[in-house]
Amino acid sequence: MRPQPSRKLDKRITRVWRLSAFINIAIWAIILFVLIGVMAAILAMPDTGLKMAEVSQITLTVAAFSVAVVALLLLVFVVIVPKIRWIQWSFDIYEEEIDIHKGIFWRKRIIIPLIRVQNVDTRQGPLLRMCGLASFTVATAAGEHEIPGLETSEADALRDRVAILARIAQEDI
Amino acid sequence: MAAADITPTLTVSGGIAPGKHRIHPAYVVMNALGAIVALVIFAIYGGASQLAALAFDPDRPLWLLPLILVAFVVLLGVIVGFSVFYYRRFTWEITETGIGINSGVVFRKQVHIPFQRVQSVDFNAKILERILGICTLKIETAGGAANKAVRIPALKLNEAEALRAEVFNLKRIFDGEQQLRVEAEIRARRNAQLGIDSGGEEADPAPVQPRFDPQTGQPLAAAGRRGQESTATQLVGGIGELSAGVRGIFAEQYEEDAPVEYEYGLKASELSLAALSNDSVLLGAALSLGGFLTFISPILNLIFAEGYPDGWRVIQVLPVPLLVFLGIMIAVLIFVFGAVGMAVSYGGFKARRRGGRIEVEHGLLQRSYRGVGIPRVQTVVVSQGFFRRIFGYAELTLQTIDTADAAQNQNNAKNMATRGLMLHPFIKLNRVEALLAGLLPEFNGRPQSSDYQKLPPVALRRVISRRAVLAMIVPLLVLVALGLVVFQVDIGDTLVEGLLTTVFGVCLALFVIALAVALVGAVLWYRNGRYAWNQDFLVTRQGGWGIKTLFIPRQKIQWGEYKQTPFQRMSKVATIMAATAAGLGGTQNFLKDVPRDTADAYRDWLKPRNIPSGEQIEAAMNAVPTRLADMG
Repeated sequence: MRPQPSRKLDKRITRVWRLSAFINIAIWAIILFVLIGVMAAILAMPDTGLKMAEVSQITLTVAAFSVAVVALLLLVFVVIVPKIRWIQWSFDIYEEEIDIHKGIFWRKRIIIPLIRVQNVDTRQGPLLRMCGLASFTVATAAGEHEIPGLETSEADALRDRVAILARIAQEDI
Repeated sequence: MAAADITPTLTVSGGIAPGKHRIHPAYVVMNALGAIVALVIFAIYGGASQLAALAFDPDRPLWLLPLILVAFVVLLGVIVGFSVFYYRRFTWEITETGIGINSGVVFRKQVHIPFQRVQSVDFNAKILERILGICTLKIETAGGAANKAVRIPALKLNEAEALRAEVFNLKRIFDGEQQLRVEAEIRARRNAQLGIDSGGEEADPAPVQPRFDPQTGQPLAAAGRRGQESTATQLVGGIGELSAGVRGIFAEQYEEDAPVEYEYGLKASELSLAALSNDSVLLGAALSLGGFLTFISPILNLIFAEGYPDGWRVIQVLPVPLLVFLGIMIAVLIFVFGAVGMAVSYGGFKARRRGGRIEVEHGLLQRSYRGVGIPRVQTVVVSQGFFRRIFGYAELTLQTIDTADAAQNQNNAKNMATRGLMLHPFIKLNRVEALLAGLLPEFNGRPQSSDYQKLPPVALRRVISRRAVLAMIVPLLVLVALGLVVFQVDIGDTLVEGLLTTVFGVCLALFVIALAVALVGAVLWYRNGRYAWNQDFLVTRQGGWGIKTLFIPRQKIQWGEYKQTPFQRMSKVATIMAATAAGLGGTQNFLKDVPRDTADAYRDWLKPRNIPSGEQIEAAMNAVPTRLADMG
C-alpha cells in the first residue's frame, strides 16, 4: 500500500457532518414518536377493550425501545461515524491529478487526472456556510467527486490549472 | 415563410447543396397515416363496445353517429394541418460552421450544431418509411443527459447518407483546422516574443490519410463462401441481402467518395446460429416451459380430479405424455419466435469503417443506420454467453457515449446504453483479432492474451465464500425454518402436511441446485478472471458461466479507483475500477480481487503522463526558435 495522501479536511467539517446526521435522525425520530402517539390513541379507543394501564404500558415499552434505537443511531452516526470518516479522509492535489483516500468500510483510493476534469464547482449549503466552509466539486464525463471544505483561494487556483490543462490536452470524448 | 430560400437539396455530384432545405413531403402523409391508425386503434380498443351499443340502440339520437364521425374527421384535420405547418416551417442547412435547423409551429426553434461537436449521425427507417425510402435522422453531440439529440424527420435515404458524409468530412477538416489554429497561435506568440514578422511561414494542412491496414485481407466476409452453406441459410442470407438493397420509392442511389477501409456482413450461417444460441432466447424458452408446466397442472387437476387439490392425486391423474408434449411445443414456438425476431433485427447486417467513423446498418423490416465517430468509442466488449462459449463464438459490441433522446424516455435510452453498438452478434473467437484490426486499428496496441495475468489463489476462496456461502445464508435460514415448521409443528391435517412436505422437498432440491450452480460459477469465475494493461490499454476478463472481456483505452478512463473491504485487506487483495464516459453519465468497470501490489501499480498507471506543466509549455515555446535560428 502506497502512503496515504498527506492533506486532511478542515476539522470543522466533522461539525457539519454531525449536524446534518443529527438533523436527519431528529426528523425520523419526530416521525417515529408521532406514530407512537397515534398508536397509543388507537389503542386507547374504547372498542379495543384494553385497560388504560395496559395501553400506557405498551406505549411506554415501545417508546423506551424507540428511544434506545434513536440513541444508538445518534451514537453511531453523530458521534462515531464522522470521527472515523474524518480520520480516513485525506487527499492531495497535484499538478496533474487529484488523489483521494476515503471510506469507512470500503476504503477507496481515487485518482482523477486533471486533464479529464470538465468543470469545477464550489458549493456552499447553509450548514457549510455556518462553519465558514465550502464544498469543492470536480466533474468528469463519468461522474463527479466532492472535496468538502476547501479554501476558496485554492479552489480558484485549481480551476485555473484545469483550464490550462483543458487547452493543451487533446479532446478525448 | 422564406420559401424563396429553399433550394434543391443535392448538387449534381451528389453533395449537399448550400442553402436551406426542406424535409420530404411524405412527412405529412406519414403523420396522417399514423393519426388514422391511432384513431382506428382507439375506436377498436377504447370505444368499440360503446360505439356498438350506440349503433344498435334504437333510442339513440339520429345525429350522434354523424357527430362522432365529424369529430374524428376534425381531429384528423387538425393533426394533418399541424403536420403541414410543421413541414412548411422545418428547414435545415449546412452552414459554414455547422448544421442549422429551423423548426416549430407555435414555438419557433433554431438549433445550430458546430461540426466539431458532432459525435454521431444515425438514421432509422420504420417499415412504412422504408417503403417510401425516407428515414428519421438523429445527430448526437458529446454525451450527458442534458444534451438532447437533434432530429430531422423524413429525409430521403440518399439525402441522409449525403448529409452524414458531408458532416463527417467537414468535422474532420474543422478538427484539423482547430489543431492548425492552435499551432499557429503558439508560433505567433513565439515570433512576437522574438520580434519576427509572422506570416511568412505557412503550415501545410495535414493531409487526411486514408488508413489501410495490412491485415484487412478479407473484406466483405459474407461474399465468397456462400456456396458451402445449406439452402436454408442461403435463404436467410438472400433475404438479408435483398432487404439491405431495398431503397424505397423516393430514395435514389448514393455513392460516397470517401473510401471504405474495411467492410463485412454476417454470413447467413452466423446469423442463424446467432439467433439460435442467444442465451436470453433459450432462457425464455426454458422458463416458459417451466411456467407452462406449473400453470397447466392445477387446470388439469380441476378437469380430471374432483374435490380439492391433493399433491399426490395431481400426479396420478395427469396425462404426463400430453403435458410434456404441450410444454415442448410451447417452448419450441417461443424459441422460434425469439430466433425469428433476432433474424429480423439483424438481417442484412453490414458494418464498415469509413474515415473517422464506423457505420453499422441492420434490420430486415425496420432498418437502422448508425454512424459513430471514433472518438466516441469508449470500450470494446467481447462477450460470450453460455451457449456461445460452448461453440467458441462471441458477441462483439462497442460501448459508446450516449445522448438522451428527446423523443425517447429515459429507461429506453438506458437500455440502449447497456447494450452498446453491436459490431457482430456471432463471431468466431479467433476472428475477433482480424475484425478489430480492420474496423478499429486504434485498438491494435492492446495487450495480447499471452500477457494476461491470472487472479491470485486467494480470490478463489473469496469468490466461493461470496457466492456459495454468504449469498446462500438467507435461503438456508428460510429452508431450515420451513423444515422446522413441516417436521416439528403438528398441523393436524394430513393433506396439508403432505402438501407442505412436497413444497419442502421442492425447496430443498432448488436450494441444492442453486448451491451447485453458484459453486461451479464461482470456480469458473476464478479460472476465467484475467487482467492486463500496457501503455495504452486496460483489459479485464470476468465471468463464470458466460465471459465478458473489456478493452478500455487508457485515454478514455475518466477517473479510476481501487478499494478494499476489511476482508480484502486481510487477504491483501483489492477491487480496481475504471470509469469511462460510456452510456449516459458514465460506466464503472470493476475487477474484484487483484493483488494489492497490482492495485497500487494500477493507481500509478492511472496518473497522467507527459503532460507539460505551464513552465514546460513556456520553455518549449522558447526553445523552438533557438533551434530554428541555429538552423538558419
